[in-house]
Amino acid sequence: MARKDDILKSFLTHELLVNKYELNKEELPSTVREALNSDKPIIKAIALIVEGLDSTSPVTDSVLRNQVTQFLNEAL
Amino acid sequence: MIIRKIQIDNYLCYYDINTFELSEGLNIILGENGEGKTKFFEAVDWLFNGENRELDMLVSAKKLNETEIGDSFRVRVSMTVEQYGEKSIITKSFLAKKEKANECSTSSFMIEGISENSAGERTQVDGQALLDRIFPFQIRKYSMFKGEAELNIFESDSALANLINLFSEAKHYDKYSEKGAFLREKAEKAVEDSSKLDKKNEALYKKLEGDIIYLEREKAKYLVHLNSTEEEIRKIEGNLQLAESHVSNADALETLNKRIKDIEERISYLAGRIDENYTTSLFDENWILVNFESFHKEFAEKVSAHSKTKRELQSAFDKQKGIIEGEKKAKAELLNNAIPLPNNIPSKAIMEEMLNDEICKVCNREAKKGSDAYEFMMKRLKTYLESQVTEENEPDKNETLFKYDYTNRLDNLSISHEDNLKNLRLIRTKIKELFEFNDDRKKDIEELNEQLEKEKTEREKILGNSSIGAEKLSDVLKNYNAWQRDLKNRNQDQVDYTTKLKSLESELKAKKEEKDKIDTSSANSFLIKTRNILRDIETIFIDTKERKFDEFIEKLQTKSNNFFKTINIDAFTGTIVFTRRNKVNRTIVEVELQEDDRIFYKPNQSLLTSMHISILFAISELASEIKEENFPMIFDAPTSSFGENKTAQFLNLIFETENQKILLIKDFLHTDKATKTLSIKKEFENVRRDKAFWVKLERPFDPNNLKTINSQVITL
Amino acid sequence: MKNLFEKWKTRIPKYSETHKDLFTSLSQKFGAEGEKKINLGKHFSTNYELYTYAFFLGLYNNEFIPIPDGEKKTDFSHHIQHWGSKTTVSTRKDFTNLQENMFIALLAKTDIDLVALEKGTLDEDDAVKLLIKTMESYTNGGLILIKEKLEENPNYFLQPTSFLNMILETVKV
Repeated sequence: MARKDDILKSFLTHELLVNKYELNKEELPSTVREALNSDKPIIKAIALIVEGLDSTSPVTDSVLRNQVTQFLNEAL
Repeated sequence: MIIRKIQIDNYLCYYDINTFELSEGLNIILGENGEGKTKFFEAVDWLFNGENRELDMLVSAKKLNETEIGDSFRVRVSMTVEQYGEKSIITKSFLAKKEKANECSTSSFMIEGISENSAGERTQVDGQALLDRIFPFQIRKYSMFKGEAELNIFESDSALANLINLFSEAKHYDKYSEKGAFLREKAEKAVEDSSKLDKKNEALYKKLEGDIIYLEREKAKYLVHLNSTEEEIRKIEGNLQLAESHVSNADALETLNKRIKDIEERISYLAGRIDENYTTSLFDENWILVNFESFHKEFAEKVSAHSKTKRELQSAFDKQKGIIEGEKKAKAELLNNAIPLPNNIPSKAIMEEMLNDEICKVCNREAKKGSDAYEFMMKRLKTYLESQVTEENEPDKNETLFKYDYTNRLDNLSISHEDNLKNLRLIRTKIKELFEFNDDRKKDIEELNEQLEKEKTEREKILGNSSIGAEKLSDVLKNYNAWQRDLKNRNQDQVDYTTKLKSLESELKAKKEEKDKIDTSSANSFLIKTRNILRDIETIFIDTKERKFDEFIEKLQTKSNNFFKTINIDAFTGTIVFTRRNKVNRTIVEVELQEDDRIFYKPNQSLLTSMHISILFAISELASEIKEENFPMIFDAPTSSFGENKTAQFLNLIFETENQKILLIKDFLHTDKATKTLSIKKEFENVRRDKAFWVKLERPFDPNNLKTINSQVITL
Repeated sequence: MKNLFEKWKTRIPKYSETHKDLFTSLSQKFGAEGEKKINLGKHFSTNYELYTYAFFLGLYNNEFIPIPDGEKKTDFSHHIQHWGSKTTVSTRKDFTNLQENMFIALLAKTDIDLVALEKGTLDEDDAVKLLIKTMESYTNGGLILIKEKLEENPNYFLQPTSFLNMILETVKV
């Protein structure tokens, strides 16, 4: 399992997701690829960031920001 | 990674070629002080870290002595290691050329690497690169331990944090918390800008922003105060513990302190009971009247004399009047024409009583109804009653002798004070008693003070039965009480600052919520939603990073304590506790020794050593788990503060850890007093090890003549 | 019934201006109790306390020294009837009763024709004037004694017992 998947998983265990966003533990994806296809905005947003920072081709700050805001613009 | 062989040529006391063929597991190198033990360590350290500097200081004097002027020889330290089935040899060396007697020049400093594959083929490689690959410098740093003084590699705040960052996953999360903050800040700014556009809220918004900035600044300020106060508290507690730790009997000290406190309280209580407000008591207790009696007497006599005179005059006057006016005022005549008593004496009530009982109670004679005595008393009473009335009804009709009556009041004054005379007589006694009381209390206090002195001397004695020098001890004693006072004050400060911070926090929270409310109502709702999600994401990132950090620390702590308990079996252990503290802009990790939740500030050397060795073993174990590879550890005399028991424990422990260890110690060597020959003690046979060596100087040698110095390596 | 005492206590007795320093150094006009008194270094909380003390001191020592006619007199504007009233001070006791004692002593020591007073031929005010004169004279004597003591030994009054001792040591007349 790639490190970025481990990192993603460690983020998804945070209680905020279960308590505030009311997501089921079972629904949580276990890879970044999966998470990028999620329909839950917060999950996808986190996946975008992990992909942006820990994939084989990391992105710059402004690119990352654009990615996240554009995605949220569309999803919210 | 395992070190198979170390060879030292012509380096300091190692004349010519000296070889250590090491085994896996525990290698013990015995050596008396000054016979090559530490130089071995230094040689290895030089191999790892040595630079091209002052090389002439490293040359073996004996070898130099034997060399002809103009000739040269190589000074060399080389290490053969084995990793993943491949052998490598790393050599650091330089050439020494003899220029004059006892002088040489150096050149050709180099580090060479040879790599040998499983087939036995050797290739030359870059020495430094080979070294860094085989034994990365971060791990090297925590694998070599020179003497007890340097075991404390955690002195620096960040050392431990860096280490953890090195080995734990936490380091991967740094960039996430950074990015999370970055994204959130951008989103918040977007919301703010949008809110500001809504003119309605501009003023209020600006004010709230200003308030928040101010509160954040205040909070930072108080955080600094709080941190420095907490540091001071730790420092003072450390000092106090130091003072107390030198006390051989801590319990006795505690009892003494309590006794001293009790005595001081009692003295204070007694002092409070002493009343020396004598001048004030002159008034409040009427002591000023102590000599008054004679004056009262004078007064009473004067008044009574006047009263009599008055009555005389009145009587004469009345007699005259009586003749003229008839029986207007019936006056009871007395026997012998004596001067009658004033009308109101005895009082109406007493007259009535006597008449009722038909007895004159003054002279104890019968006054039966109808008798002269009875009639006399009756007339008197009537006269009195009439006089009470007559005065008001007939002011002008009668010409009176005396217009005013001052006597009545003066009489009353005299009588009432007469009663008080007995109190006046007691004053001198009361004063005497007070003096005695005060003196007694003062004596009591004096006795208590003597006792207090004794107890304090006792305390000093206990504090003095310590292991620190007289000079330092007197400093400690001098400061002991001052530190106690300081501690009290600082603790109060801590409480105050914490309270203040709490209130600032809640104020901040309220202001931020207010601001959020405005945002929510005015800014673009999309921006709000985005900001909220990014806020949560940042929280998730930060929390996860801290969690990872804490997980690692938890592991480190558990492992450290396991090692610690083993070394200190049968003795005090306490618990090693790692704490993460978030300072203003960095995270630090602190290590403390605790016993029952009480921090042990100044543990003795032996405890400190075992604590650090435990931590280093723990780190090594963790490094192995993470890197999936073992690295050797080299210790130079770590046990000099350990007693025999602890040394034995320690040796057993390190025998059992997995990686290769090289241990340099001087225990188990014995010098015969007579012959001065060195020998190995019998106990050494029981010490478990995989291999043992003995470095000793070739005898005979002259400690002042380096040319005779030659360490020999004996494999046991 | 008339009350000479009541009349007397409405007065404000005076003292010689030469003793002004004693009053400023030993006592506090308008009063100073407890901590305040200690802070100011005063022995007596109020001026009238010093006055009362000096009166009794002079009385017990029979130091009857009328204030010379040429000397200026002054007072501290506090009627006798209020002397000793400590209702507002919780740490002190009321000693208004001492007023009676002073009156008693004054009446004993002053030559007043009581008969004339009661007949009406002596004016009440004049009688009271005589009493006050006696009071001022004894007080003057007492103040002079205190002054002499200070000149003899400036540190005499630093002991807490000094004022008490001066009273106790009085040779009874």
